[in-house]
Amino acid sequence: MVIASLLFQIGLASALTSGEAKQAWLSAMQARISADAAYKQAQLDYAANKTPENDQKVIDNAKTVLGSALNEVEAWLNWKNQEAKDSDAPAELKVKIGNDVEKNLVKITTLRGDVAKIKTRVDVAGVFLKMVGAYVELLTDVARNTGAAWVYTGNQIADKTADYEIKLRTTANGLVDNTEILAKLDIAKSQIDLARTQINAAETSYKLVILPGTPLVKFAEGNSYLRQVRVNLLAAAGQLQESFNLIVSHK
Amino acid sequence: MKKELTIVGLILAAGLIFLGAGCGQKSTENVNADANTNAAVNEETENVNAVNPGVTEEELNQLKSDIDELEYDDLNTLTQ
Repeated sequence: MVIASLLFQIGLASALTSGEAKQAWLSAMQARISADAAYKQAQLDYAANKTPENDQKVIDNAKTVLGSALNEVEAWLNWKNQEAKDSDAPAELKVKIGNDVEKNLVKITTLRGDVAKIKTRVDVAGVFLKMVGAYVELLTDVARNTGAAWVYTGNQIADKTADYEIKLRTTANGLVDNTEILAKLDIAKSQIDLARTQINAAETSYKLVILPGTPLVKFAEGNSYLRQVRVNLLAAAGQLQESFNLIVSHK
Repeated sequence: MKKELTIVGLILAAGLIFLGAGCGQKSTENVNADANTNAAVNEETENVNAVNPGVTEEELNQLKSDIDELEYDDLNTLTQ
């Protein structure tokens, strides 16, 4: 039954486009926010009047909000999975992301069973803590995969920038009075080399986005390297444009 | 007889005017054709003289746009 439910969920998610999957996640988030408001009201009612009925209302609302949170996380995972499928990431990375998403969807299914078994306030606290742990785990998986996809894209763009630099340099070498053009191309090349060093550093950081460890810190570290890559590549592209202008206006 | 000659003269004159107009028209077309040919030759000569950089301006613009679009969000914004 659990496996059938999981297969249905995966099938349903794969039928969505990335935009639709994101919309489904936003709707699930809204439902969780509403459920959370109802849970807080139930707690206020119980604080004002501690009857067994109000106590049961708190437990029932807690179960609803925990279930809604699981729906939200599941929708978010489906969106991230679809986003990866729609991207130009390499096939092996897409498979890895798909496997991680499936692994986390199984955890969500297990947690749904735990929520259904909640009978007391102590059970609510226990399941909540379990969910927080699972959420950190799935965030770690998604962050590591996202970083790997960003490194791939960064390398692709650095390769293209280097290819254009070589083509412009080949043309410039055939021109007389090419000193200014070659100087600009030298700057572009050094920026591309810097970008490649930063991409490698980012890749090392993203590989350390694991548990146990400091996945959030390592993920932020990788992002910081890639932001510098963006600066380097923009500087290189600016030099390529100036070289291009000098070449086409060359007499 | 004089009247007949006048009519023939008028017909001849009209014929000459038509012919003249035709020649004038042809002459203008020739001038335009010559101008177009010269422009094409000039353009071709310019293309032959221009340096091919090996990369197009569109490719460079696309590259800049691709780099511009790179965004790296930390986890707090990933889940928003």
